[in-house]
Amino acid sequence: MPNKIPDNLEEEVKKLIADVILREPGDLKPETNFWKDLQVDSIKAIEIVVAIEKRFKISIRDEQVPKITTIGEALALVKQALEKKKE
Amino acid sequence: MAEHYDYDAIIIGAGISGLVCGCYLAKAGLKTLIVEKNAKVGGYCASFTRQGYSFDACAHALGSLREGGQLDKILFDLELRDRLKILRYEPSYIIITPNLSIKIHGLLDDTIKEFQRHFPKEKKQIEELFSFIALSDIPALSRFRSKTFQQLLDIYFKDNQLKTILGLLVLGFVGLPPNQASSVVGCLIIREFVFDGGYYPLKKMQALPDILAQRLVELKGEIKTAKTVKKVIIQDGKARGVTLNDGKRILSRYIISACDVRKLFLEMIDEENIHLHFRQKITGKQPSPSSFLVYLGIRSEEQISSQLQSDKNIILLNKLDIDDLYSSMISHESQFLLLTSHISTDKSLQSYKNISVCLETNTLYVNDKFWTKGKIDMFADRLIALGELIIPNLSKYASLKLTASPVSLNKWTNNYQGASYGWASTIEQFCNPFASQKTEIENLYLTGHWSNRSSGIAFVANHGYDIANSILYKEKRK
Repeated sequence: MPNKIPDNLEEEVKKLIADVILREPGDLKPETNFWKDLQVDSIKAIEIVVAIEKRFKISIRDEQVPKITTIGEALALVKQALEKKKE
Repeated sequence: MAEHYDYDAIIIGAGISGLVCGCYLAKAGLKTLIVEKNAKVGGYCASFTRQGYSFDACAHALGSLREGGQLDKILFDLELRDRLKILRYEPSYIIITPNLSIKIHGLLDDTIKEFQRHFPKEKKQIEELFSFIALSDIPALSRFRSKTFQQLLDIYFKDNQLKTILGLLVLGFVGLPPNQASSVVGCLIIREFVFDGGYYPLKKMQALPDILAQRLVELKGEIKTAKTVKKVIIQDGKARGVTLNDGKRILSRYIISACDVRKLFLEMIDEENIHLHFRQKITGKQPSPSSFLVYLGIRSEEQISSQLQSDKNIILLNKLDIDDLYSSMISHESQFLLLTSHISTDKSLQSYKNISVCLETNTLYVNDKFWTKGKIDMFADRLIALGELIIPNLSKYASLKLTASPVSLNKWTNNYQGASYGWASTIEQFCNPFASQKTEIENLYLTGHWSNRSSGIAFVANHGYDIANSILYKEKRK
């Protein structure tokens, strides 16, 4: 099966994150900061990473995890990983 | 015209998660009701009294109570930190194997030294892994997210006995062998319940749910005990209230399920309101194992072992191989247990002291026909025989013997197959959003150990806090 990047990737990522942190996808803007705006604790941070990896069947590199601070960065990382998988 | 509601929030189940959630909602001014099927609150954190002996039904100790720990933070928020009197055992746990006895201390450094003394060849690695589990930030912990706890142990250690001891902590507190359990869950459980464990309320475990229930009422919340929710009322895809077994309908803007998730989705909610694929997903998931408990009441006037002279948490491993220990569990021939003993003064006879001993191990439910009286008696005898490896002649001192099988736990809590920890924390199921706390049905939320996150008292308390926060955030946006 080809690894197609979903057209609605942004919505899917936002919904996934919103489900873990118990917010509405509409609350999440690209600049929303996980720590400052959403008060995501460290356990939820792992849950977000694992949920994204499982949903999109991708692997996020360990050194990238601490660098994800905003919704936009998370989205960019998922896109990048899916592009790489496609190649 | 505004719709009429009797409550802002109804919570199904007065376990720790439901009570914590209710307190936060009531504190914020929401009209909150908790409906509990039992006559008392607490779920697995309840205690009971028989013939003057008090026993904790299932949960035996608290964790995560260091300053800023998950449970400490909640007690602080709810202004209960000074009202709940809690002591801490020192050592928090004693682990006994066929050839050594090792202590888990209140201070991490002491625990590290104790393990280094027993396993000098692993000295450096013990310090590294123990500090990593206890102190590392989460991005560091997330490095091992795709690994099992066994793989983590194999990375650090060579000594099989050391790996078995640490693996047994995961088997005992999560119900899964380390080669099936997520390393993240394993690390979190050891961090929050072992390294920061061994706390005990002065008035038994029941003191925690009792003080939360008392606080809820002070905050103008309500609890209806001995009432069962039969149905969740769903209209136009939104949760609108509940129907009780006596036929009474109570309407509410939010419904929070703090009970068994299969019961909720397969019985309390009518089929037409749930997608078939979701029902299939729920039925296909793996629950955690159940437990078997023996409660023994002992009068201290008897000539008793010195082992019973003070309160204790002892973990016994009668085999030195984790695969053997797990095999013993699934074949209903457990070779490991947790022994807890508590002394209390009998008020009617001041000269006596009552000692309540509880022996607990993980086991499988199988089906409700499996646990015949013969099986229960046999299992209890086996567990007592194991207990006698710690306290010789234990059964001879006992003037009272009670048991709880997986079927009893299922009856008490409605947890599917008497599961002790909700869903099994396997790599596959950890953080797999098949049962998100936010459900597909608007205004219906899940909390507690079936909400697909880590289990254990501090964690489920935290789930209750999270759900309350999410609802309060939604309210604020309005």
